[in-house]
Formats: sequence, C-alpha cells, structure tokens
Amino acid sequence: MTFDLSFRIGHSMSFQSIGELPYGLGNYTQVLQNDQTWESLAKSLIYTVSSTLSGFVLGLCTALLLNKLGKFKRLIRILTLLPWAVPGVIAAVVFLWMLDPSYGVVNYFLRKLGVISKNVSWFFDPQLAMFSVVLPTVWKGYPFFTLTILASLQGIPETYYEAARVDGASVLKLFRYITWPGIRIAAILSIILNALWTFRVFDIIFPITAGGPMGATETLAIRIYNEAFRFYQMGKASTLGILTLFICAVFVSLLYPLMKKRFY
Amino acid sequence: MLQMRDKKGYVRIAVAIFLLVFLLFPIYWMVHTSLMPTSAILSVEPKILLDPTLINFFSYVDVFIRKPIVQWFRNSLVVTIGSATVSVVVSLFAGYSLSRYSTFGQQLMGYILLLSRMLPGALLVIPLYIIFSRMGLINSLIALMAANVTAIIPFTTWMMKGFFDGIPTELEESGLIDGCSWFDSFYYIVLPLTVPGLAAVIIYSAILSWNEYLFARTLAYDPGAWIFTVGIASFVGEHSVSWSGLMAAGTIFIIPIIFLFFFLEPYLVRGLTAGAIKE
Repeated sequence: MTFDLSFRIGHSMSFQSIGELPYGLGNYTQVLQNDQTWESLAKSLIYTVSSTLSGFVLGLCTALLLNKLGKFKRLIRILTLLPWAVPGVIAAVVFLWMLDPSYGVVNYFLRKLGVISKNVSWFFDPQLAMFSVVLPTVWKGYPFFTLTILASLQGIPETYYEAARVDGASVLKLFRYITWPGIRIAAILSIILNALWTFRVFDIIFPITAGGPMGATETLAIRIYNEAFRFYQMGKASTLGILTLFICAVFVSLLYPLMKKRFY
Repeated sequence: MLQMRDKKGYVRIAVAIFLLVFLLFPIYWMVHTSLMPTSAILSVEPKILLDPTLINFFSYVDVFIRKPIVQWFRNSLVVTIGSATVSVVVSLFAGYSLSRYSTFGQQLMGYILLLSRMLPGALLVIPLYIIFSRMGLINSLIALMAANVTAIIPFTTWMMKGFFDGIPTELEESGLIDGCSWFDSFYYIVLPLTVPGLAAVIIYSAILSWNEYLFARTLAYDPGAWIFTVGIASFVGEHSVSWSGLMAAGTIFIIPIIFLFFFLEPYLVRGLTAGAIKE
C-alpha cells in the first residue's frame, strides 16, 4: 500500500495546503486564464517533441549500427549507453561549459568550420536557449532508445534478411519491410516513455537557465518549481501541477490499452 | 565472400568509433578541462587533443580545498544506499503481488503506479516539502531518502513485475505441494530466480538516487546536507565560474557511476528491457 503513496499525497496534500485558505476555484480560474500557463505548456511540448524525436533518430542509428557489430560489441555498447548514466546536473554543466559564449569549444568548432563569424551566446539568447537545453537532453536521452530498439532488433531472425536478399531486396526495402515492423512496437513505446520522462525534466534545464532568459525555457516542470519555491505560491503551483497531472493522465488513459498489452 | 564480410565489419567498426568520438566528446571534454591549467582553458583557441606537457592535477587539489567534496560524497553515498535498499525490498514484494494476483484492486494499483511514474517531480516535491517541514525533517538525509523512494518505487515495481511474470507459477505450486509454506516457496524457489532482476533494480535505483537533483535542492538547502548534484550546480551561480574546478568535481562524481555501469551493465540492459518490453 505504501508504494502508491506518491500519487495520493500529491492529490490530498496539495489540497490541504490550499485548505488553510478558504476553499474556492480562484487558483484554477487564475491559472487557466493566464497566458503564461499556455506558454509554458507550449514550451513543454516544443521541448518534449524536439528532444524525443532527435533522441529517437540518434538512438535508432546507434542501435542499427550496434546490432551488426561483430568485434568489440560489448565495449562499444557500454560506451554508447554511457550518457544515460551520467547525472543530469553534470550533463547540464558540461554543455554549459561547451556552449560558453567566450571560451566554449562548440563556438570554436563552428568558427573553424566557418559556420559563424562571431561567437554565439547560446544560453542568453531567448531564441537559442531552447535549442541549447534540448541538446543535453538529447545527449542524455538517446541511450534509452538505443537500448530498447537494440533489444527488439535482436529478436528479428537473420533468416528473414537472407530470404529477402535472395529475392533482391534493397537496403531501404529491408529496413522498411523487415526491420521496421520488427521494432515498431518497441519504438513507439520507447517514444512514449521517453516523452513522459522529458515532459518532467527538471535537472537539466534548471541548473543551466532556471527557466530564463525571459522565460524562454520555462517548461511546466520549471514553472511549477518557480511558483512554489521562488514566489511561494504553493496553491498556484499545485494547481499547475494538477493540470500537468491531468494532461499526463489523459495521455496515459488514451495509450493504456496499448501499454497494457505490452507491459503485462 | 568472406573477405568482403570482413571488410564490411571493419567499416562498421570505423563508423561506430567515429560516432563514439562524437557522442562521448562531452565526457572527454570534461576530463580534458579538469586536467588543463586555467590559462589553457580560458583561451580562444582551445587545444582539442590532450597535451601531456600541460596535464596537472591542480584543479583537483584546489576543488578539494575550496569545496566540501568529501561531505557531498558522503551525503550522496548515504542517500543512495538508503534509497536503493528500501526500494529493492518494497518493489520485490509489490512486484510479486502485482504479478501473481489480478483482482480489481490490483489492476487499479497497476494503473495508479503507472500514473505516478508520470508525476512531475516538481509537483511531488510540494507536498513532500510540506510534510517534511511539519515533521521537522527538512535538511535531513532521511527526507531525501524518503523522497527518492517515492519516486523510484513505481519504476522498480514494474521492473520486478516483469521478472516475476517470467517465472512460471507451477514452480511455486510444486513447492507448496511438497509441503513448503508460502514464504518458503517464495524464499527458496522464486527468489533465487530473480537475482538478475534484483541486480537490475539495485543499479537502476542507485543510479536514479545518485543523480537526483530536484528533491535534494528543495528538501535540503542547508549546505551541510547537500548531496553532490546540488554542490555541482552551486558552482554555476557564482560570479566567475571556476570551470576547471567544476569539471574536476564532475569527473570525481561520475567515476562511481561509470564503474557500476561497466560491471553491471548486462543486468541493467536485461532489466530495463524486461520491464519495458515483453519479448
């Protein structure tokens, strides 16, 4: 019974904290009417979708490569999966350093390659800040895709490929008609799980920007935190939290039949 | 034919190594920065390759003197061991019951657990903060452990359930017929078969609590109770960030997790895939 505590407390305690004040729907009308809420939601969605899709592409490529590797398989696999184990905070500060406006190595590379003529201040430009927090998220997130896709790739019998090759199928066709059907369910599931993880990411964004500059990276998770522990608006933060939970619950309810089929 | 295959294999390894260089560059750059003197770091033309003549461990010594690294390390270790132990025990039994009984309540619990996997930490931390401040546990490592456990258990329970699902009930029944008590059959028959699952749950919960930042930052704001993630993040707020010191600290704290990962990675792979995808 204790293990569902996380869910129950989330509900009851947030009401209790509002409960010291008179009851009312004030928080809800305030939050729902506030444009900032929808902006945060939009930012969360941009952040989640872009991180998840880039991570998926990278994970798919590494998984396809790893699957066909003969020698050094284990070593290369461990090294590929390593970023997954790196603490989000460390990933955050390493990218903060690499993207440093004056001495960052990324600016140096881009200068050498002639892409940019003068240094870019990645985290201070509101337009680039979102891209700059997506980068470490993708880096930390892709191994999860590699892992799940690799596992299902290994379940595809080699004989399928041999048969198709005998029939003269091209590489693209092999992927389209043998590989993709074999990994489709794992791929979709890992996208869902990763999206849910990314939706809640806090430890990568907060140490770098804390939601700034000018709220450019203030996703729902960051905004809840800022409302609660910067402005001490516990009621408002809880309302935002319940809203987030509601979005996730709807998402999960829609996908529950699919997930259940594969989980059980 | 054989030669062509060989050639293809080498090409693949070459591509893999190229990709690895690209993907592991952030980690390399962290170690690289931590070993270079400040003058080499704050340069507009940084050297990409490690220059052996410039290597020094000054920033490591410096960061040990200026920051309570040892204390952060100790706090992190205590929290990690505590959270992992509790999570393993609870998810062992919870996963077993989820796998073996399918009443309505069980189904509901499964859904609730799945839902709580999606709770944003930022939401969870608000009630936790209120509870722990009422209990006077703010700034104590116990609060961090409890918070970590609430976040980890939903994951590890599903992982354990996946493992128990793979063990046929007939095995237990045969034990019961031979006169074992329920607990005996669980202890002597089922438990030994779940060792890989347990290993996966241990690594998984250890990595999660070692890397935890949100709870640690909120529930333990007193510097004495900081774990290393909070300590690392505290560098960034300073006026001039000591990059070499920061990277040295980062390197120190990433070493235990890399070790754990290298030795126990096969279990983790099997555990995660068993929990996420049923073959």
